[in-house]
Amino acid sequence: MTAHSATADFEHRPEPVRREKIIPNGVMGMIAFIFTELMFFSGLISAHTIVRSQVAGQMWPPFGQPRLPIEETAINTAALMASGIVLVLTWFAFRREAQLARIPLLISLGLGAFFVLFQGAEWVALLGEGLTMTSSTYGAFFYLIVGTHGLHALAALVALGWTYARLDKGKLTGHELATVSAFWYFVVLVWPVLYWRVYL
Amino acid sequence: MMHSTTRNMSVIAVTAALVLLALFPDAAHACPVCFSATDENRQAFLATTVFLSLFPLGMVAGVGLWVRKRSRELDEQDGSASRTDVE
Repeated sequence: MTAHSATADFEHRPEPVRREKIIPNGVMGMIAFIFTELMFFSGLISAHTIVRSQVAGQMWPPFGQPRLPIEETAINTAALMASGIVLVLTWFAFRREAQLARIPLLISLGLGAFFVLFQGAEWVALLGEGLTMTSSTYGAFFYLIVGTHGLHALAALVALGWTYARLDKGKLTGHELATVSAFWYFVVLVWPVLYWRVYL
Repeated sequence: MMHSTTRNMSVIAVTAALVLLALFPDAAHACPVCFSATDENRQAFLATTVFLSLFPLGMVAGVGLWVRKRSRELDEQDGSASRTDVE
């Protein structure tokens, strides 16, 4: 093959087909992270289930320990669920026009912040009633499971805040919004399971 | 001769150890639920074992199916786009 024909072949080679990625890199990374976190929470819930089943006479919460605020936390749960739904609306608004997503994203952020602050207030009240990490396995599991979820919620709120700042500057991409949204959906969807297992 | 005697002694020692182990099976708690034989506890162990075994498999299978579905959607989009080009 001569140098001339090789160059001609190269020039007539068809352009590679560029197609949309099946999953954006950020979303794939977040899915892998969420998998590990789901297994972590599964381990905690399983340990809680085993310990709870070993309590004599199935008396849970144990004698002398305060009851958890089930009704108040149900309202807080509703706020968190609403935050997740508003974030879905944020996505649709972003697809229509980026700046339309500002208000729903702020509402979602506000509802999430309400959830975290309400949880903090609940913890202060429970500590005042004598429920601590060392008061019983009941207290230890409550603070470990709910506290771990609270840390995730806080991290996700920071991520949502960063997303809002990017949107405000007009630099937010759809992949970035999808990645952060996946993390927030994890925080929102894992909570009802924790509420059911820990509070009820 | 000396070598054969040592070997015989080893076989006898191992056999004796195995017989002793067979005579005292209750010395080790290999089964984690044996010490708390309530129905609730047994059910909790069974449920959590099943859950922790199947949950990761379900997650991986779920993502695999979703990726396959998304890939087919993109293939169809590419196919319809190329047909439009030909027309």
